Amino acid sequence: MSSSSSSSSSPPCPKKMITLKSSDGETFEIEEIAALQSKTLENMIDENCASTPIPLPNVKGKILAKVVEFCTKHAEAGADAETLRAWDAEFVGVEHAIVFDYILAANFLEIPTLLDLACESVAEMIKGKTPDEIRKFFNINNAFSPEEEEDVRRQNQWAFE
Amino acid sequence: MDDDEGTTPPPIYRLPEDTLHQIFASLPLRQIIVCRSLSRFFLQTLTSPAFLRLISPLFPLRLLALRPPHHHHHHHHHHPHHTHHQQQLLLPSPSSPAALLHAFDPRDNLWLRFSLAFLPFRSLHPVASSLGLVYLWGDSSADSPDPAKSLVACNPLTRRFSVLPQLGSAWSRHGSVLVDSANRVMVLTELAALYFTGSGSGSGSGSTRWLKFSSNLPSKPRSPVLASDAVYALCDIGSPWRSQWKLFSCSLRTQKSAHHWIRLEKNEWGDVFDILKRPRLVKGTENNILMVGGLKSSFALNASCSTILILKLDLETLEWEEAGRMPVEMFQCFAESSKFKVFGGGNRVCFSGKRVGRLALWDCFDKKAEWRWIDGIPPHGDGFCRGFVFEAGLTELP
Repeated sequence: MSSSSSSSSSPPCPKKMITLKSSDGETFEIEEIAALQSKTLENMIDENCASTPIPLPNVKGKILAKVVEFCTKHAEAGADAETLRAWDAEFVGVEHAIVFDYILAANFLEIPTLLDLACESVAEMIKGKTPDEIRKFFNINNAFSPEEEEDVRRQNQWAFE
Repeated sequence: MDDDEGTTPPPIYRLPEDTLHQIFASLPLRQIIVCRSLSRFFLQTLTSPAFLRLISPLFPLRLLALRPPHHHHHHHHHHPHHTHHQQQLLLPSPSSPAALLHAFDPRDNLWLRFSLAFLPFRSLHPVASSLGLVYLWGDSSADSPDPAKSLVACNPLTRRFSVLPQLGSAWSRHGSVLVDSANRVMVLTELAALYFTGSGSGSGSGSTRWLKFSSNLPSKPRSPVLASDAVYALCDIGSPWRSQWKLFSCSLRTQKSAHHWIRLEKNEWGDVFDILKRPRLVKGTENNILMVGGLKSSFALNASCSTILILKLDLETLEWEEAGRMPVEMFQCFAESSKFKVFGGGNRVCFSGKRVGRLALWDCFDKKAEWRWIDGIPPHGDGFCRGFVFEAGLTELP
């Protein structure tokens, strides 16, 4: 990574790297600046627990790699909003099961930008679909009795028409 | 029926409840409600108090509701299946065509239909709304030749209703129903007004009845509106061949036995009423009312109109200013019919003309005024649409 040439503030040494360890034993290096986007990691760094590889038992290697990619991209100086938005769109343009993993990781690591992005993309998957289409897409088993379902629909009839 | 344990739950169930709330709260309100029927899990998640708090900013749903035409069309066709949805239609068709309230959502640009079949009345006529409650005339018993009409307040979302004390049919035929946020209901005719305060202090108190006031208006009140604790109306004090419109108001602050209307006028107003053809009042926002009419191209008796003008009267300063003007291309669709109907309130005004086929909407809701067309109007009688603002929400009845 090129060293940042921003002169506005004095961030911690941009080249300082943190090591993260996924649940399946893979290690990843991430710049400290990028890691600060995770409140969880930020807290650990502040408390100086960040010298050894930080174990993240809730995040698989495959996902952690993408999270590192996300944080690194978002820590880049000088990225214009539109390019970043396009990059984000591509980032979440994956199978919904993977987006769910992003959500779980973002939750665990407290990365609001990633969480918001992933939630938005799930909402887009739901928008405009009928209940049957949504069930099919997300593998939801109905489990309502016909009377229960009829009840729910009748009480909110206006929304169904 | 409950063998969810046998199969692995869908991945979406793994998401933390907060996150699910965040995802669903960003959807249009109608879709949120529909998603409650996905499964028991979603019914629970999407009706939890935390979620309801999160989506409370979505209410009220600011809609434009239609009044049914004066004469009923007794269609006997069933509503056709939606071809663009694959929903299982478990819904029974409404018992009569008039048992539906059609309302347009300008934000999401779609028509909603609210079933009124939960009301034990026939010949339902929604006429006004305030704070999420819709007020309708209904026949209590359809068999007699002149069935007693009741004014009913209901919330189509919660499907609860309450009946106001009965009125003679003359009131329902000729009276304009006005309601305001203090839950005051007024039925206004040229000669008298009925006034009802259904206070929340329960039934049996002396205030749960109609109070009658005589009125000193010079002629029939046109397009009365309630605003800032007063009623405003236009009256034509001119002659049969030349209209002369004036603005009258009557304060509701004190309850005297007579409704004393005064004429509002200021020198600075000049000929504000004479430049408009067939002016009508429309409720504005808190401290103003709107006046709408064709902008006459000259003061000649039968001058044509160049467009439709919307004026706003500030009720504190009593000053008029122009609020909006219909774009010429839009007005051309109205120009051939000399009459048009207006309804709306707050920051929205709808225009309906015979043979126009769609509604024109002036929408000033987001501070920036825009004019647009509303298509897909449900079938209506004589080509005109009348209506009122309906702010749908989960309001309890008083």
